[in-house]
Amino acid sequence: MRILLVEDDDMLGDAVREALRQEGYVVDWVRAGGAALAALSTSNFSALVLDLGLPDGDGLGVLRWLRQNGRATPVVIVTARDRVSERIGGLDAGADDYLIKPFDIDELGARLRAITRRADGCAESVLSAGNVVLDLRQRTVTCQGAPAPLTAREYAVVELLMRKAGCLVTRAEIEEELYGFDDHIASNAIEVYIHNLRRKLGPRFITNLKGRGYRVENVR
Amino acid sequence: MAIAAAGAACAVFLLLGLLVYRAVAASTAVQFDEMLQQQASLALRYADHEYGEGDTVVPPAPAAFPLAMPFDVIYQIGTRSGQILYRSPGAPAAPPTSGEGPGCANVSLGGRWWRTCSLASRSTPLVLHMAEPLDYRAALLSRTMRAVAVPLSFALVLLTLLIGVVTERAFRPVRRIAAELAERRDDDLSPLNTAEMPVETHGLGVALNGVLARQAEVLARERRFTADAAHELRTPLASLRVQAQVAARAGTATERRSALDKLQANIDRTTHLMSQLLSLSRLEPGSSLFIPEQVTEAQRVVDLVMEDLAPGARDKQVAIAVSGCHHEVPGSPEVLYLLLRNLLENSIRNVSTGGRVALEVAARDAQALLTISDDGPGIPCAERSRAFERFYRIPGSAPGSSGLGLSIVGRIVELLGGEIELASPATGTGLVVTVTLPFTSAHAQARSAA
Repeated sequence: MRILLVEDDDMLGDAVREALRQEGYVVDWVRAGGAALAALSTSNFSALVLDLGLPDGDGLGVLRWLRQNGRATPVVIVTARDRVSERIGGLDAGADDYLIKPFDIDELGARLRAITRRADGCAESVLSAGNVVLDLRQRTVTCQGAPAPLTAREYAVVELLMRKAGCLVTRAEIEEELYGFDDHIASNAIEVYIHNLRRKLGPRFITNLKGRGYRVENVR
Repeated sequence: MAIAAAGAACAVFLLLGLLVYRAVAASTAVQFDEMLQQQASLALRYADHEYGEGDTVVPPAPAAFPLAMPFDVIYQIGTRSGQILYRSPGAPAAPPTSGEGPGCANVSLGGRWWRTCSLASRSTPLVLHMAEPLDYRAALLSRTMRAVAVPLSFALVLLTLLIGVVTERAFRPVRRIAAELAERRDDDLSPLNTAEMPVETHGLGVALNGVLARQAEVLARERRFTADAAHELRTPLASLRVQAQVAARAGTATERRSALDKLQANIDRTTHLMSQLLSLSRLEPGSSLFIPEQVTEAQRVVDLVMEDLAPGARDKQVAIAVSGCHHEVPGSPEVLYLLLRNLLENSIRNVSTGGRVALEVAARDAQALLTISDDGPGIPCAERSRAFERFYRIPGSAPGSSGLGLSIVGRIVELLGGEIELASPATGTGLVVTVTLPFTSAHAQARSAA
């Protein structure tokens, strides 16, 4: 899952990025509202971690831009503003959650999972399709009961496909999910991942819709 | 206050009463003497007439007086040689002994005091002595005074009461203000309602409101400061927390080492922020750091600052050039330390490795000039007005800034009555900070004399 982190403080931003990467997220970190809007215009993110006290304006401006443009990207606000009125204001502006600094990184992780689950319309923490069961919290995948050893990127692909089970997922979408701005993508990386996943999870798990993308069938 | 005023009014009245008594007594005495003399003169004229005609000078029986008289005058008609020709009833046989010649005098006759009047005729050898009792005069006087005293006393009582009441009421608005203030809660600094105050205490009310407003302002500043400081500490604390969790979860020893190093650096940064906050709080109103008319030799302070900043400068291989430190600069060592340290620290932080920083101290008669320059990125014109705001970090500036350095510097310059200017150097990039601090007039004079 790809997260956009908007935080102007160097040390906090570095620490949060590191922590989220430890959780398996792909994190893009920007330090100002302008850069955030630029990133949001060009890419899709699974969620936004948004600080409000930005040097070039209020983080709420970014949030409003998102909502006014009909983008439903889940947003968790992380801020020093601790007044109840400010909290209500943030949620009313369209945030999905509001955390006050200092916060527990585990709690941030849990809230990110919750809001992305909501966005997918999927309220459970366990997804299953055919023989494959994916536990979102543990970040594990089992096939016919046996744990499947997946790399982080492979896991990310499975998670994306299973969240969108029954729907077509294009190659571009997969790339966007997997790679941040700074990452270098090999030209056939996606094919390699899909191939490996077929090997590990069964040949019928992922359907290849030639030229268009991939799909995991919505079979319980 | 009311009692004192009433008491004073009472005393004034009694004094007035006494003065009135003496004035009335004096003027009635003169009137009585005049009347006595007239009577005596009249009687002498009659006696002269009779004598001139060779008749007896003994008067006929007096007519009945239409008014009852409390007394009668007594008189004697005699000759200059002392012979008495006639005595009225009750008059003594011998002439009165005052013997000083014609005129009025007080004489004691038979245990009673009389006012006598002696006249000598110019045409005949006759002499007349007439006397009336002094106690009659006293009785008359006291009757007059009693008549005056009654309304006077009435007026005295009335006026005393009136003055007492008016004074008491005059101070009622003041007491009301005192009661209102006494009833207030500890932190209530709202203004008094002067619109309903009588004109006498309006001035007092306005002045009190001035004091209350200033106190409220000071209190508000302190509260804002505390709230700002707490707010600003949240982000550093958040990063410390996350870093600790990252370190705990690190998979490898290298990762853990790296995370803990970052944590340490973060603690240093947060400590620095704390020191800056403390410095700033010490510069709030009422600060004891500012002893007026104090000057410090720059060298003493510069040595300390250099000692403290040397490690950081060395790490970045930044050269700091210093000149003019033999000069004196207005201000105490504490505030000058804060001023120079914050400016130099900013420069060291913002220049790249191997950059250059310079401090120049100069002094003229009336002011001292501190110039701190560096060859870092400088501050863009657009940012210069906001640079002195608390917690404002200039976008693109080097990390580790608390956003408080220039606020502290700005506040010190303000409290020393000086000026500060941010500018770019003549060539290349960088920042030139010029601080002008005025010497107090006493010092300026001493300096120009020296």
